[in-house]
Amino acid sequence: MNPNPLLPVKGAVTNVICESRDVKTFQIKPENLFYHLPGQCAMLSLLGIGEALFSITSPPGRDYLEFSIKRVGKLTEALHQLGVGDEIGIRGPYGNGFPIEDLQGKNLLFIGGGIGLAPLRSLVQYAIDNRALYANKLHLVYGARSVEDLLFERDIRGEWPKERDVQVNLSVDVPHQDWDGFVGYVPQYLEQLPLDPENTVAVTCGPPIMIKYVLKTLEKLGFPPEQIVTTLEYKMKCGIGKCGRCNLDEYYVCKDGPVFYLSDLLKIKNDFCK
Amino acid sequence: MNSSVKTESLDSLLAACDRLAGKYRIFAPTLEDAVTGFRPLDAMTKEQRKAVDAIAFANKPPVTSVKSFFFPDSEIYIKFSREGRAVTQMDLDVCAPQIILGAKSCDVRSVELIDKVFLAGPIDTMYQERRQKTIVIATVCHEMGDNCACQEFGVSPAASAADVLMAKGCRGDIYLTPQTVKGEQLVQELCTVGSFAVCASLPIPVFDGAVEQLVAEQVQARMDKSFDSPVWERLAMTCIGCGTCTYYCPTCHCYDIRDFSRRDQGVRYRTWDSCMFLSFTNMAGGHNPRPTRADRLRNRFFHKLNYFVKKQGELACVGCGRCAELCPVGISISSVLKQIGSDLHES
Repeated sequence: MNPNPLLPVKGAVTNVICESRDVKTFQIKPENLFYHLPGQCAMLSLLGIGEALFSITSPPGRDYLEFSIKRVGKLTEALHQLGVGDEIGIRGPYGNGFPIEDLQGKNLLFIGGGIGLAPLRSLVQYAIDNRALYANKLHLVYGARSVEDLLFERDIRGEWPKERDVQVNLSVDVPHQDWDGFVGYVPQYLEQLPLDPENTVAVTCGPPIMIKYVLKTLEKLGFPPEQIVTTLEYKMKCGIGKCGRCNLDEYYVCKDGPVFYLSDLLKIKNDFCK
Repeated sequence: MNSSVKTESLDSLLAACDRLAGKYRIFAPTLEDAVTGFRPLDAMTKEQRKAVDAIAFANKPPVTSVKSFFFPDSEIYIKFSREGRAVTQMDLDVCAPQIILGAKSCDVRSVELIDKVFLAGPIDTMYQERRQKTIVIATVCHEMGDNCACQEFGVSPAASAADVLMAKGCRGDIYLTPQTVKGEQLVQELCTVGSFAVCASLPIPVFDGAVEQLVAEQVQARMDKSFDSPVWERLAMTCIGCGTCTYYCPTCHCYDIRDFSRRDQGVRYRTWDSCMFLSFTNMAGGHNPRPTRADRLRNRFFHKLNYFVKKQGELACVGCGRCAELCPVGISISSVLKQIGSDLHES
């Protein structure tokens, strides 16, 4: 008989990075490390408290998995109490991941909002790790509520801008005395940037309301739906397309997603692009 | 296989079942608190045992379906205790072999539909184990009950893929016809402990075929056209969001996974959930893709009559009529089919 797919394996927290006042990145080493694709997710759980699905923010090929987790509820509050050496339950990987083969040889425009940079980071870093396959321009437009809420400082202001043909544009929703960058929402920023849809795929993730307006803005800027990829977030429990809650039309976001081409989303009933 | 046996009455069958009680947990439909449902045979009162005959052979299913025998309303799959930082996982209760005596065709069919979800990879092993350890004895119906619509959904009231078919002769004698290897083995076991005689199987009642079957793809197409219809808002005005439909529906299989702990002990379990509840899709961050009752109601009927067809090629309804009987405001698959105007339900 197969093992119960709902049973987690043990993992150990090997590092914790404080990203902002309510986001921490946890480095976890599972007993049996699995290979994942950028954009895939895993279930993290604490016995007696709960379990939830999180995107894997580290690129494939490391000997650990990283998860950036925003403190918003009971489980994430408990996860934020974890320190190095603590035990955690993990199962996965789940979901389809980004279409990494389709993205080869394309200019990539990454559009992230808030904690939505977590799944994108896996893809950005994967592209940088495999520059021969992703040799074209990599452009990240990333916004957060405030300067303090910008995540992954070490990447977005540290390592990534140093790379060849990598452009990073940052925005914040509210002004700050030390901020001389763009102030406003990400979709507004997109309209001001010189963006060329030619041979470019836009990949976006953020809060549902941001995704909705980013999709509209990209269409306005001339990006056809076949060149827009988004990753969606739904409440999930099983992660394997059985518990029934994360459906978009006949598809389950946990299994058939979380990554969708806009051209495919437009064909199905959903609340992101009405 | 397929050679039938008969015994003189349901009582003599139940007596034989009693003798297998050491090996199987045996359940049959009876009355409890004036509600029909399956109860353990060895825990029934005399009156409840007497009531089995009428309920098992009624021309409608009991109020509670058989799904809980394969997919319990609550099922623990991790049990642990904690001492300081050390966590010990404890062994779980093993599902005992069980016999469901007196299921109806509609319910047998509903389990086949849930199979399509839970037995598709990755296999739900908890469900699979209960499936393998359960023997279903189904009774045939001789006419359609008040709310029954099984034939419209392609279910034969007089035949099913149950392990054993059970029929009652005109003198109250009981005929058992095994249809699977598991069923064959059980009938042999019953024969060794009870008084059975090999016989020709009882002719299965023939329904006149006047009821036309719904075509899944046609219903799916009708639903597609009705996605933006005002019908969902209208139904949501009366729906009270109680979730009764989902708990009694034999094909509803949505579940939640929850943890519970107290002091140094705890469990992780899965439990029935309902897509009719606001919390079903509400995320910790506050976003809810189905925030209104109309969204949820529409999603439920789309799952049964549209999404399941697209995914599995079948309607996810067996026409058991429980929603029609139990919904406090009279919303049911049949009433929805009427409102979206199917070929068979011109309003």
